[in-house]
Amino acid sequence: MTAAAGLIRRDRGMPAWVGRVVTQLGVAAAALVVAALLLLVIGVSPVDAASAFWSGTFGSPTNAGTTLTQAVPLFLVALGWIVADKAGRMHVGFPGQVVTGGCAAAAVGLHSGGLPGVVAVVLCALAGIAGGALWAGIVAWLWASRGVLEIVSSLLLNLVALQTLAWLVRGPLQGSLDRQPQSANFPASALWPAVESVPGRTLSYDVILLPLLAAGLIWVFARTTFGFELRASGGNLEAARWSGINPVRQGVTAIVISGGLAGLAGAALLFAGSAPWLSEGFEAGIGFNGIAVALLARNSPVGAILTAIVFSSLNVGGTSLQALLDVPSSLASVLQGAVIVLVLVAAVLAHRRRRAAPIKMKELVA
Amino acid sequence: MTTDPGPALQLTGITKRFGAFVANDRIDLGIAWGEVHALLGENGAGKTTLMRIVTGLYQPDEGTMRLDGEPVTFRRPEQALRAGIGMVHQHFTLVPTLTELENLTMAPAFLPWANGRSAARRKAAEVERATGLRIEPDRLVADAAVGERQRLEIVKLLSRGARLLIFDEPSAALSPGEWDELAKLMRRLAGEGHAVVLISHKLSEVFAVADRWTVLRGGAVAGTGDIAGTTPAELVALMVGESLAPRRERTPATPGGPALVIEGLTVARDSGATALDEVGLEVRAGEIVGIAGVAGSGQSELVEAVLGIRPVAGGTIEIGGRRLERRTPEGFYAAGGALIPEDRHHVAVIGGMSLGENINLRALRHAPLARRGRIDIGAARVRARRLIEEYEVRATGEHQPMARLSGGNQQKAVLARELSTDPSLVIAVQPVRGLDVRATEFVYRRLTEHRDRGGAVLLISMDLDEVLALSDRIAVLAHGRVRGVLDAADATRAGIGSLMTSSEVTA
Repeated sequence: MTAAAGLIRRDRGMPAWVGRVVTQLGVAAAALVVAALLLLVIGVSPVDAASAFWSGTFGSPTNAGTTLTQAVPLFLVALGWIVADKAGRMHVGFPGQVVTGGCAAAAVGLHSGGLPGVVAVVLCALAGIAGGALWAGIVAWLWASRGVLEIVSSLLLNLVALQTLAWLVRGPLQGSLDRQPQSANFPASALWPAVESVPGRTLSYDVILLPLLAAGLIWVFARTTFGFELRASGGNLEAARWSGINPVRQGVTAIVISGGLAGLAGAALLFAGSAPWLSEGFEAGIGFNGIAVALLARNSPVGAILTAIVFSSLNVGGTSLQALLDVPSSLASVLQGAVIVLVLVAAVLAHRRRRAAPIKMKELVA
Repeated sequence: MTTDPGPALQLTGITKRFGAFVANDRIDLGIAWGEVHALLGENGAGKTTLMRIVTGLYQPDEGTMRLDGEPVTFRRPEQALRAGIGMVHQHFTLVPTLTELENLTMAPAFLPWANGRSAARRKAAEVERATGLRIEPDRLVADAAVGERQRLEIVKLLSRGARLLIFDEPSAALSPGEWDELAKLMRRLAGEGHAVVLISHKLSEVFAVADRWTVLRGGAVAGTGDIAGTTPAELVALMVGESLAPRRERTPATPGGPALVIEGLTVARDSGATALDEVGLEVRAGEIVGIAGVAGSGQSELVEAVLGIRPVAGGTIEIGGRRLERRTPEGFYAAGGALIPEDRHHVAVIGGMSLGENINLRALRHAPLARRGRIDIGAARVRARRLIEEYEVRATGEHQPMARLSGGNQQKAVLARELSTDPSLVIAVQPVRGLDVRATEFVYRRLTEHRDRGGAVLLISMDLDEVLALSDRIAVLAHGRVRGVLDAADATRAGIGSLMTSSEVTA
């Protein structure tokens, strides 16, 4: 009994959030060390690289605009992951939903030349949401009616979406003059507005989605019956069912909302990005990186703002390292990979620490 | 039977403790070759623990086991099986996706690379010659009926050399016809010199096949003897014993209108077998109706059917005078129902959410805590704090994660949640399982208070003392049928016990 009491005390010795922050700082430090080592190996001074990285990401308003704007799609996907995860549904169909959302938005955008800007922008965004939500709806329907594991169906539907995109940009939506596999440029009126005072107009207004959606999601989870039932279904599906909640409906809704957010990310990539046309590679790994963003933020919507910006700056900064110091752009990808692996390691460590005490307690009782 | 066929297995002074709980208390038990020995006792009497010791799953803390006069100790089930002791479990240990022959070959092979199939085929043939038990080697176990699976399980043990076979409630899953077959087989095995131990709740079965009996109660041997020299009434009296808890004094019930009316309810188990057969039951406002019965008599199917998560094959359920048409948990609660389920971890609490959210799990979704989908956080917090205090839930606060609370406090939180919605009907299933004396007393008091306020309670428990202590009327459920409804004042442990263990044919 005294041993058990000792374990409880040790468990309470430190508030949980201190541990979380320490872990996250540790992950960041480890990533920096890995980056410095990699740079040393290819013969680049880490100090030079750091200054090039800074100037490329936040060194000028133009670059800062790019970094922030590129964080938005990552953040949207991360929110999609968080919504589905809270409902206990772990799907990985974000790449496919980003692609279908983007295709739907592009199809609308290409035909919205005559419409006033506001109408066109809203229509494109809604089309993106609808495209992603419908694609996710297949996953949700298969799960709810046939019991198909959402992780499997969503993964396979990713492949279908990518092939559909490849066909669209060569067929119905092909529109570039030199017969490249890409669409025509979107009409300027459909492009999402950017802040005029930033040179190069790199800061899209869609960055206001970062705080708005984060706050909105927190409010939905904490203050609405819908969010409560969603979390209850994710927390214990059977207990939710036994207390009068329909966990299948909650799961379906969560997957569809999650897809809608990913679809909106697809629209943001196209209409707030630097390349205003639909091309085969527009998704650019956002779908899976968005999951990493959410995991690094420990499924906190506010944390996801920060981690999305970190990931986006890794992308943008990698480009500037390449331009200024001839560092291969793949290094940024290596670094992102290193961060993801480190996050997983940190998660495992945190999990173990949390588990240690209860398991020992149980052994003592038995 | 000869008077002394020679001792097969002799247990002397076997004691097994789990912490402070003594599951087996100095048990002496002798089983002879060539006899069918019935082991009887209520749930928790220690039968299963004892048989796990015999088959090497548990090691006894004290006492000795002798097989054919030689002292033996089993550290693993394989050792017991090698010595010739095998158990036919209630839940078969077969792999459904393999054929019957492949299931037989899963014995540890003499050489790891040896192909056990031909050997298994040969052994199965030997068993068939000796006992007449035929298997279909190439059929998938998944395609076999329950009785056929049980036969395969027996063949498996025999082909591995088992001479002492233990049957743990073998008839639970069988149809009456399959049971007759099995009874004949047990007699034949005994006739050939095997020893058979039969664990059963059904006295009719025991009297049909057993030569001798031993009754366990509270972990100790309550009596042993020859079947020929006893009566069912005597065995029931030994099994249920004297009541441990004196019946508490309290005001007599003043029943009002019907709160729950069940008529002709027929429900199937997951396996498709009948769980409830034309069950009728009435619980009135202001009374506690207890349902007594051994585990697996259809209690959980009854709860799930009333809650609306298990389809019914026939019959009606009325709550508060209104018939539940589209049965869903939502409808059950909307009609004024509340439920304290048996399996707290899986269906009652959400470990990852806070104590406050668990206490408000049902109230939070409706007025006054929520209006048009928006939650009034302040009101929810006040309500959670009030209930935590009122129900004496010990926690650091309403934000403490539910999983961090002790089992007793989790149960109090569930009680708070269910009783605080002002229900007309409370269904409580094993409401004090795993609780200490104080917490138990607390739960009993709350349920009685609910009754005194004019609420209806349906108490389902495998613990006869609990049913006797709390109920105003007692319905006895056995094999999916209500065997009788008694007034608590007239009910005795022996009377309920004989109804609980009555067989199919008893009227």
